[in-house]
Amino acid sequence: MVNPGTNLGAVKSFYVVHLPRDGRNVNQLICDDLVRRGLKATTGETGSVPPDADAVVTYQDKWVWDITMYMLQLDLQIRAPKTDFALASGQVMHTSIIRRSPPEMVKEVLDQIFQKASAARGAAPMGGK
Amino acid sequence: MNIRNTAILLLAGLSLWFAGCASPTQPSAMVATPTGPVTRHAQSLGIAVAGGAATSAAGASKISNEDFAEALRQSIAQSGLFATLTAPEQADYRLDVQIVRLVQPLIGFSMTVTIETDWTLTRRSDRQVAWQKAITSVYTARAGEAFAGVTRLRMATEGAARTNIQDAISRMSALVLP
Repeated sequence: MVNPGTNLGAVKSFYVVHLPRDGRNVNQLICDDLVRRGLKATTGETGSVPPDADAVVTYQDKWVWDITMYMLQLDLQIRAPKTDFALASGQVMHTSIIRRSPPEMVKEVLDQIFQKASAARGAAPMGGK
Repeated sequence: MNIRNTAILLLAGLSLWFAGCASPTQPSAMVATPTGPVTRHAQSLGIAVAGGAATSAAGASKISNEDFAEALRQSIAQSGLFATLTAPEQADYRLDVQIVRLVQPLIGFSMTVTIETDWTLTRRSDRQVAWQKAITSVYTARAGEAFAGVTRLRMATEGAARTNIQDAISRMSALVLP
């Protein structure tokens, strides 16, 4: 989902909020992926949003066990820092047989969001491996 | 009890757990009842909902835009929050609701569902935003409320939406609209 009127191309600085129950540092994976896209991104706890952050990124990861633990689902939201409103959001889910690594899940959901934003506004950063 | 019997019991239990297909949430089950007195606004209101999803039989119960909008319409009509409800392009105020996320458990005895919605109330004449709020609501359907897991999940989803609408109505009731 990309909110009508949202121009993600204008968002240059992201702050990824660490989900308290996330012990796998998915926040760092998101932050790294955004940096690979040429964007400024930092990560930390919820109360430490930098004043110059254009957007705040939140996420929810769902893990299940099948021989080993794997990430089943990743939901991600890009929010306006002042209102907490979702500017854009995405979700990826891969069951065990087509499981993806956490960095691949992060890349897929961010690709999804930026592609939708690009289609909506004609300007968005893409790329990143 | 030996391992074989335990396995049979476990499989039987899981079969019962998953019995049935997911059914969509029902608007009537998401209609909110105000918890206190509601201020009646003299203006008309139009409602637009986005971000919902259709339910597939193999998946979990979802909330469609149409069903959430219908539940919201009924809730506002019953509460008397606005004088009239009409089409968004004809109303004095337009209420946009974006369903941002619906977090549902995969499995569980007690099913807890979280819904997050963004609400924007805009005066149509000059497009002035009168109220904006992100609301997150949680509802738990206990194990005793329904036998089948899919039913409990649907009930928890409907409960979360109902609570969300109730919260929004309470907040809009506190507004002074020009």
